[in-house]
Amino acid sequence: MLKVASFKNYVNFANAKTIGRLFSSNNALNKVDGGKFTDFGSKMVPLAEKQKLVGGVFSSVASKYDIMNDVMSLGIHRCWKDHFINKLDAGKRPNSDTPLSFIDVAGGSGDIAFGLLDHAEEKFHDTQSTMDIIDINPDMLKEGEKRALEQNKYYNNPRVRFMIQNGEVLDAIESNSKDIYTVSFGIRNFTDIQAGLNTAHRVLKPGGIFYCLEFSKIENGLVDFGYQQWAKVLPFMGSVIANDYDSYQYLVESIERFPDQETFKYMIEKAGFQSVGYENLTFGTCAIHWGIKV
Amino acid sequence: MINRGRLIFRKSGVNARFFHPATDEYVLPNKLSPCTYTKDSPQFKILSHAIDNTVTKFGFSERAIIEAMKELKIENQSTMLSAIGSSNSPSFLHSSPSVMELLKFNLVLKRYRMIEGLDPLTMQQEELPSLESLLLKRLEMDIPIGKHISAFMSQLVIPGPFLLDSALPELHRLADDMIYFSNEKDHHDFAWYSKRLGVSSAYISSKLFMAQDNSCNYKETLQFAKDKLEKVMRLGDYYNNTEEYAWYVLLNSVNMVKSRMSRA
Repeated sequence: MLKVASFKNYVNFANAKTIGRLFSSNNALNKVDGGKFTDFGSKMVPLAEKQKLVGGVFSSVASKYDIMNDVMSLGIHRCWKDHFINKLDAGKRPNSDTPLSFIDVAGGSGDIAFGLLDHAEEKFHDTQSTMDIIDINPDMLKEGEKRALEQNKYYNNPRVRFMIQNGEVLDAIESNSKDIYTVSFGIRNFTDIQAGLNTAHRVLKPGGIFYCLEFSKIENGLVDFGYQQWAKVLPFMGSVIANDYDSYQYLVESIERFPDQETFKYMIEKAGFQSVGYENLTFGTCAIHWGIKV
Repeated sequence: MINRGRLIFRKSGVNARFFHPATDEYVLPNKLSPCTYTKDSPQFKILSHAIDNTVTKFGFSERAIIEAMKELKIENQSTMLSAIGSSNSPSFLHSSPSVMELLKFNLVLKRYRMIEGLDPLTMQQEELPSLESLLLKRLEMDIPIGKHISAFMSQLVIPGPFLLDSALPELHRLADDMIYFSNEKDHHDFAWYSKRLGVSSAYISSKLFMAQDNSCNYKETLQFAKDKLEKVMRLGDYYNNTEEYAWYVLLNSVNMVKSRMSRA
């Protein structure tokens, strides 16, 4: 379990939230003070520490990942993920020549990865496309492997690889090697989001597509008000359901710190993608962003 | 010194924009709005090739897009299908987002082709084509895909976000462009809406007629469109005359009441 007190030992700006917001909306990097510090929820922590702290959060919630998502989104995350998979509509077509090479980053739990493979099989009878499931957190990957084992479909399957990798670097993935890059509810936890986007551009083949599902900025005032009230309750729900207040507090704060739709779109364009766009889901509670590598 | 100069400019109300124009204001648009990709993008090349070549054979289907990609020697065909469909929401009643994009692209591309070379700002009124010729030009563009019109129309009218976000706005844009780029007189009152509605209905009924037309080169459809437009315009004349008469009666009545009251 994370201890908030331990964060207080780090530099704690009096109004870190305001400063961090200025920096994060100003450019792709959510760093301050020459790159020495970065935000971790509403707190400022040394850059090198964020990865460990985020790792701690996800190790803490890995076993209760489904409950966590259901609680945070009132179960709507399942509809969002379904919509994401159907919108991407990926898979090797019967009259096409080559199978696809997917990469799902920060996808340790495997729900998007397995969903994509299932969609390809059900709709296009595609049983050849391959999937790399990437996560920096071994506990989340174990959760995904556990699910694969339970489904008895993608465990020990040569089409599916589980890899512990930093999404900002992906040093085990060759450049220009992937057709479809997906990241779902993961990119906001990157220490350097722009580096993650640049890496996505690097690993995709020309013609490859980047697809991202992430919480975003709510555009409807009334819904936003409702969400703000809900966000106040969430950490308490976390402590009741999963006995973990701090992780839920971090997750709420990280959603708030994530760039809005237009800023994130600009960041994707900055990474080199073209035909960039986004679709708001549930009044902008979350958004699907996409871009094409030409 | 420079800052002081800027301050004087600001205080005097002179905007620095006069001296530093925004360059993007002078860049010619490279997109066919509302499509999100540029004319030199692979999506544009694939879809325009599909409309001109493969749709005639395979209809509005994924097969037509894939065949277009094969003819253009584009690899990663399955990925490109996802890229093409990315701006559309998946729908239970539609086959795939990429086919929805093909439908939309057909409407947008042909609308832009219809007004190619026309500019009401630089051309004289008499140089512009008539509304009827624009309507017929647009219908003639669909002759090569004539046998797929029925399937095309039925996909456009499926209830859902695609109908509201793409099909209906595109119909409105088409009627608007037909009036704006022709020598037709435009209006600045309620007739602005009724005229566009009338042109839209003439276009749609002609397309429905076309879906069942077996005549050589769709001659009957073109004749039907001419007659329909004439009726719509005559209806517009009736509307204008009625409106004029109603105003006349209203003003007469007001004057009569005024004169009665002044006598009393």
